[in-house]
Amino acid sequence: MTIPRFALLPLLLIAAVSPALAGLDDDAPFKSDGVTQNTPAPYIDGRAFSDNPSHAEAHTGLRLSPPTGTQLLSGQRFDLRVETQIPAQTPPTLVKLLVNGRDVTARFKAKIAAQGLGLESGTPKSPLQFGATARNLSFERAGLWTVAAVVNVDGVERSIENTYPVAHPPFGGRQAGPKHVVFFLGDGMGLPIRTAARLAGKGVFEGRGRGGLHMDRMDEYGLVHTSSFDSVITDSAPGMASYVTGMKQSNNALNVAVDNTPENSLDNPRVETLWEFLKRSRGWKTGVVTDAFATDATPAAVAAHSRARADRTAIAQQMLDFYQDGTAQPKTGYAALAELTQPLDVILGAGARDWLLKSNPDAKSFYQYQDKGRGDVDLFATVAPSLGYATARNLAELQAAPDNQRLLGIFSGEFRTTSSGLGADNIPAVLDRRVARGLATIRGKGAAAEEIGMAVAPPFGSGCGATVAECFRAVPSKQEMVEKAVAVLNRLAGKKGGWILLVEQSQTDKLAHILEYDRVIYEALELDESVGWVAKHLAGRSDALVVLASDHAQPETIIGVAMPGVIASAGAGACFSGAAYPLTLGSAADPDRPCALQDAIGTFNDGTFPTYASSRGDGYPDDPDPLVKLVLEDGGRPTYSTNYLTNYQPLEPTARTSALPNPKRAPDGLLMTGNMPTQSVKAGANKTEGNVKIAPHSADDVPLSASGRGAELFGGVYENAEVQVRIAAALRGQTRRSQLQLGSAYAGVPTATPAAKFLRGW
Amino acid sequence: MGCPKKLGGLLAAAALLAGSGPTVAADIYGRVYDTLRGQLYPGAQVTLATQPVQVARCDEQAQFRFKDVQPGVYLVHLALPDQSVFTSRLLVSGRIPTTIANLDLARINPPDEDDQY
Repeated sequence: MTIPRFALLPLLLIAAVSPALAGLDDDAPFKSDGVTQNTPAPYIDGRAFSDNPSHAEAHTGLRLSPPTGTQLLSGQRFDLRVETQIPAQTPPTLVKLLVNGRDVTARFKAKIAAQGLGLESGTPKSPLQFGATARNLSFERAGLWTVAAVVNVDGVERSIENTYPVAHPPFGGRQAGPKHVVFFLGDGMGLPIRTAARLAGKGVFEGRGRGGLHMDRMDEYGLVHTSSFDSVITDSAPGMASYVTGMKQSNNALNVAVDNTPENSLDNPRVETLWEFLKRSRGWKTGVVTDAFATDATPAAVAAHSRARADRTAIAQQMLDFYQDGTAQPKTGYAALAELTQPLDVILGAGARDWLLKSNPDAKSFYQYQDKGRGDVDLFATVAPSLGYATARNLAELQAAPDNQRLLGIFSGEFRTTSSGLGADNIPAVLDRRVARGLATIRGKGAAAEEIGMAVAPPFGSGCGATVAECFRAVPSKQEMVEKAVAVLNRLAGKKGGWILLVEQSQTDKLAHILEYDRVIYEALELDESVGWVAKHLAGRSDALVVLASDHAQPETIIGVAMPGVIASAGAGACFSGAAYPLTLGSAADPDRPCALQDAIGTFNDGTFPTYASSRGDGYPDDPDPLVKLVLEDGGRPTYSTNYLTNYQPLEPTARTSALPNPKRAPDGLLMTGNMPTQSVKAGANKTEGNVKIAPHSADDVPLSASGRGAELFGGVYENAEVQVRIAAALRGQTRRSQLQLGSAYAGVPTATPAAKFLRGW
Repeated sequence: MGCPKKLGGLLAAAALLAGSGPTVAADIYGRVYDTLRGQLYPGAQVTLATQPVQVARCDEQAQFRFKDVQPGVYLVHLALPDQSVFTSRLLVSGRIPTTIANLDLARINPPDEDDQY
């Protein structure tokens, strides 16, 4: 196609008057050797590159926390921080702090003095940056609040103003709201996975589904935007934390805002979670259930506060509300944090290394860590029992635990040394647990088959069982965990009390990261089974609310179907030849023929309906590779190969560091070229180092479903940070969406400007 | 739609873009750290891929500055004292006097372990 000359003229004009884009282009060689190529990291502009440039004073980076627009609840605690980012020539000073027009400077300064400088107040090391955090304040009236700060920087007064829409608290309504809340979180579970789970679990005939999932039958649907404070692609930390605080947060952050002391992840300005708020203000019982390590981002998002989600040992202590000097979560310097956090009453998950001392024999013999565990204090064996927790390591101990006692259950992970990508920190995949229990096979192979790797002794002792299968059988299913959690919460709360429970299905995300899509479908089905149990026992009651959401999506989608039998007998092995780059397309005898595996997929008009069967009638396919199966692929991926067959064990798609496929996974498969950026390594990234070995998250909106009292409030399209106000409205007894529109631009927030005296906590 | 009209529209759009574009050189201030590890990187070398390149070395507070950078999009090469190298990008705006460019390795490095995603 020829481009008309006149069409080029505007472009030339633009080029002539625009600044030169002087940077190297994407294909520039790295300076280290001048030969190897690298794909640069994702585009990060000046705004996103800076921690919080979007609402800061231009000359000094003066900013306030919480970020402007944070949607709080009346009574919800938050830290108010004033800070500059760019160092001055002389120490800056706070001139004025106004709250809804009233000068509170003296109160703020008195609060800082009472807290003390340093960690308690987030004091920067450099006196040339201003930074002060007043901890645990709260707006005690609903309405629109403004906070304005004036700071003298090198003789010039710089100012900034934030607005906070504050909704009514989650209690005190005219009608009683639900007092039992279950928040399901399918991690990374976008719409394609819900669809795939329905197709696999229920089937379809002549275009009509043979039935819907429990999650399909929920009362109301919404669509949620998931971007984080500093990235269009969120990770699981702000993805969940935004739901339960009303505050958009940075990637990797748990219920904190950014600050100018990046060297300390535990001193950032914090915000109270709904779980903490309900426990502190109403004595509600709280819990988390997950198949990830219990300190992982999603469960930690309801109970912990850190700029770094990787602070796992400190997070474990915060979940128990246990502070002690000399441990990962010290007491000194964190009085305000200790005042904020609340102990969870039920904690069920995996990741024993965050709870047991490394010297605890169970760390190795039972949980199969070769050399991992805490170095300071044994939360599982010593601290939790002293705080009134019963403990459980497996299904039998879980079911035997008393219902009238707090419960900490830490279960075995995917410790097979022949598997990769999930690891001993995470509960084994649903498919693998079902194979261990004799409830499923993989292409006909059960737990006794050598390929499955379960008929062998665990690698580091027999604490959890004589064989891997025995250990896996002893890991409770999600429904078994949920049943126990609900029993404990009901008992602890009593008939008049309330409780709120987070139930996470983590592996819908973790297994998708390693492109184990057949297993991801089983994960969604396990979540659905728990949704069904809760729907049966709770959602029909007038005092319960059930929400099902996802923190983000992944770029996976259903591209067609495949016939595993044909692949196994003819397709595999015909794609590429050669052990290293460059691979030869086709066979040596016929190098021009396209890969036979490509022809094994039915797409477009040839998308035959899948033939998953569930002989037990429990909604789980007997085998992930029936005659016709679904094929899922990913829009973002590392380099890997696939033959569309289910791996006998979870396997990373890519070799540990190189940009080549994992040679243990479908080495005869179709080569899928990676499109992920490279990681940086010493001496420069190249084709054989610095590869990112997982698929990414995506920015797609995610569906949210709700049932029970107040479910209607969740219809519509909104931000994840607008979910908390909906839960609060439901807890106040509101049931109609129109009740959320109170006059301001923010759902659930009246236009009133409350008096400054209702800012409490000084 | 005839060609003259289309041409006029394109020219108007070009003029609008040119008129609204940033024109003032800006300073860059930033720090190099890793919020996942709570670590600052004093001594890190930051290379801004202008022509010619500009190089800054972080002070003891891991701070760096560049002066009078023309607005635009730049690659930034970061070399840590242990020889690790990273690449990312930076948009320098001409609308504010100083662009804040904190280089957080927790953001630049794609997550690769499950306590990062």
